[in-house]
Amino acid sequence: MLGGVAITGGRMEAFDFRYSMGELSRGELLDSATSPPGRYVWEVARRTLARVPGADAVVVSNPLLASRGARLADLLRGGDTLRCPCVLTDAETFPVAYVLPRALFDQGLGRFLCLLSANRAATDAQLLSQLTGQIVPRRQTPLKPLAPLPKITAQGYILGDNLAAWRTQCADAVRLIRTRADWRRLPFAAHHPGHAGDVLFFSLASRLVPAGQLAFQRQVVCRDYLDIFRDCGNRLEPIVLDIPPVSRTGDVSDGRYYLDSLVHIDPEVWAETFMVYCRFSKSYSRTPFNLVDQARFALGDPVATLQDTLYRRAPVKASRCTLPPAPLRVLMQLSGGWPLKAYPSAQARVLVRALVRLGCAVTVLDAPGLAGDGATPTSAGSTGRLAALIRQHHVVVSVDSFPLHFASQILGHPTVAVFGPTFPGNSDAPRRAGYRLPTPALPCAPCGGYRACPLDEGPDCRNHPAPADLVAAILAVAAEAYGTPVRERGDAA
Amino acid sequence: MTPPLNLRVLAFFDARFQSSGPLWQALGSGDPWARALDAYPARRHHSPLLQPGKALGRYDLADAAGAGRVVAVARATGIGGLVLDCHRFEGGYLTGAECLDVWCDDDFGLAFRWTPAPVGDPASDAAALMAAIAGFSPLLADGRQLLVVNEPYTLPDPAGTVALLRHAAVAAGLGGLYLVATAAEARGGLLDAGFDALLDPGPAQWRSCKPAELLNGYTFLQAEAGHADGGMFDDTIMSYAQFVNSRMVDRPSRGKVFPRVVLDFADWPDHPQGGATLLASTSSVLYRRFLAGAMVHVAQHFPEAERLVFIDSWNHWRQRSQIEPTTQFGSTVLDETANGIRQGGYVALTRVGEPTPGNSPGVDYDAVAALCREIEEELSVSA
Repeated sequence: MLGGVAITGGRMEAFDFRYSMGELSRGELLDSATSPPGRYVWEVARRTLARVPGADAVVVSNPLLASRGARLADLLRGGDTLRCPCVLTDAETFPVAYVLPRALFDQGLGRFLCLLSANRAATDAQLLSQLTGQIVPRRQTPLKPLAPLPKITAQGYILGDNLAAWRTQCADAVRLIRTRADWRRLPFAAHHPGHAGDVLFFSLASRLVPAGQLAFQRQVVCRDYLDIFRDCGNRLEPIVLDIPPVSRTGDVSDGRYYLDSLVHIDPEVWAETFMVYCRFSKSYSRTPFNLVDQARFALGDPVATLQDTLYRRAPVKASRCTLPPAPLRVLMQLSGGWPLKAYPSAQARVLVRALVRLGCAVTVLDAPGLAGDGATPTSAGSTGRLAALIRQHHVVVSVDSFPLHFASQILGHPTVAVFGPTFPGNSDAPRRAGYRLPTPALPCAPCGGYRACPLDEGPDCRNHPAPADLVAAILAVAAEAYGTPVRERGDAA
Repeated sequence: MTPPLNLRVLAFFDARFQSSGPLWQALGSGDPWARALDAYPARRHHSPLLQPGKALGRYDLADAAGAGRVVAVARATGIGGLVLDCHRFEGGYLTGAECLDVWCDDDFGLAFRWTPAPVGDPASDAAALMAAIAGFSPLLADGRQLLVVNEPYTLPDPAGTVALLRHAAVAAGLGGLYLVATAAEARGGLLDAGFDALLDPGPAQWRSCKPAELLNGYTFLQAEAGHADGGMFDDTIMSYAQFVNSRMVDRPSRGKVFPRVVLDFADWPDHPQGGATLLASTSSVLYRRFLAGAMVHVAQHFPEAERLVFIDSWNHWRQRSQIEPTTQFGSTVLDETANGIRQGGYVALTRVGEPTPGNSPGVDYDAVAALCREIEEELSVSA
């Protein structure tokens, strides 16, 4: 719950906003894991002003905290005369809410609120001071001290190193504004350097955000993923990071990686760019929304209604294999970013053998062990090579990993999506002819398991669809996309 | 807030929480809340019953305002109707529906659950049942009044009973019944007997997964020696995560079975000598996913006018399965219910439709399944 209060000539009107679980009704905000808390301060202020267009000022609660608008209004009424702008804190120094003058938004400076630390009132006050040209006081409220906060808040925010990351982006912004007279025109960069799928989602999002709402001009990206960045048509200018992407094992948190990565950014670029932390501020599997929509929100698009979400948009491209329809050529990616995502090897063998017996030619990416079952192993290496491979096959079958998203969302190729331990809603493609997602049914997903199932401790996820379901889906997709008669058993002979 | 795609989430409801009226008198008067909540754990693994929270309190359904508050909270949560038990009394049935009906309309209706019992004149019994459920805002499935038949395996002649019920419904002017039998899979022949659909049985009726591995040999020896609570061996304890997975795994193969979503379950108050069924390590987050997943399943596999999900329960306090606000946890569970309904509705709305999985005319699904089974056997032999 986020509170917003519009102040008009001393009169207050309070509003409640909540992180949406899917309805996206008027008072709901798209729940975006890749948006720092400051992004929500901007959005709530924008929505509050839309409801009270004549307001002189708007007050927004700290997104890390659950606070209703009415509670916020109570805090505003108590104590000394309210100054605007100012930062309200708890009985100590933790920021509870921001009092923002209307002029900030009239001057088009709303996006700078993305840079707020949301956990150090002094730094946030300095940022607001630089933005408004006024001294911004901190006003204590009677609210009991908020510290210590939990590691993960009820709203899903992951604190830990992220607190330092948000503080650093805010302090860096203050420094930049102080040193550059032209700070208003300097570009914003989304710091979201990897991994492969994430770069794809941000690239796609950058294309979908309407021009007038895109708050960013640049994106930090690892050199390893620069080809993805380009081949997915990212509209932002890349800032290349020459270090390996963050480890998936969790040894190094996203927040720590952000802090460590800054020294590897070209100092000249850093000195003229507002860097916004856009790796995961929240747990992304808590929200039902697609990561593309989450990235769009992070980049400035309000994605305010269901009609705005990815699933309501018609697919723009439809790639097809131009080779003769027989034999049906199937390209498979059966391993993903972490071990538990991999399609279980015993089932993979059944899948490959069944397709081969049906007369299909099966190519597997990064799975040489399946050669004995009749598949042709290969590897892609680059997005250019992967795109060529995809176009040489009629149907792509992939677990929740980059090739799946590339084939289904960028190329629009006939695809069968295989989900097990992850939640399809976060990264599947909009439904269309030539796309299938045999629905994983178990409520234990997303489980967060990395190497083993958290329930039975086995190495395989039992939420993956059975081989028979995948074979049927492949045949159905082929028939749908190419209009070819479905292979009958024995065709190969 | 109503879920899209004609999805309806219903909740089993105990209408006995009233301090006057025919149902209260029939059940022996007294304090219905005391009857439900006066039970104290006799074993270490029995979690105490929870207490009604401030939001609704110990309401009196006989008081129109009290009933109205309950319905308003259920509606705000996204629930589309309540399922009330039919209580036998002096040759007829009482449901308590009259307390709630005034607050119902087309968007929020009432359905009923009937537990068969041996009677001398089944035709009269069916007529009495129809008289008891007629005249209220009906909860419709496929355009017909919904009636859940509990424990259908006790019926000596399921087809005969179905015919009798349908005949009685027409005679009572109900315009048809949508009959749902409590059974886990279609293989029992109940659909052939004329039932329209099935509904997952409750945790005590169908122990769909193995008991939790809380009881190893060490514990057993300890208990036998009197050093540990031997009562654990008398009850069945299931891990909640295993339980919800077992309820959702491979659902399409079970046929036309509506999901029953359960938050918690512990019937130890009614099994003081052992034999209780309990869910352990329950989680409101997993419950939300269970609910959302059930909605998506129903949206994908059921005809548009028959998309129902049942929550067990709204207020079965004596089984700890209630989703109403509690003193101990506030409205956490109710909020997760609303979140689950929103999430399930969103996923269903954005994913369900053409092309429909499993419906491609050119694919011989049985042949594909047989081929895969054959290969699995070959591989297991060669291993």
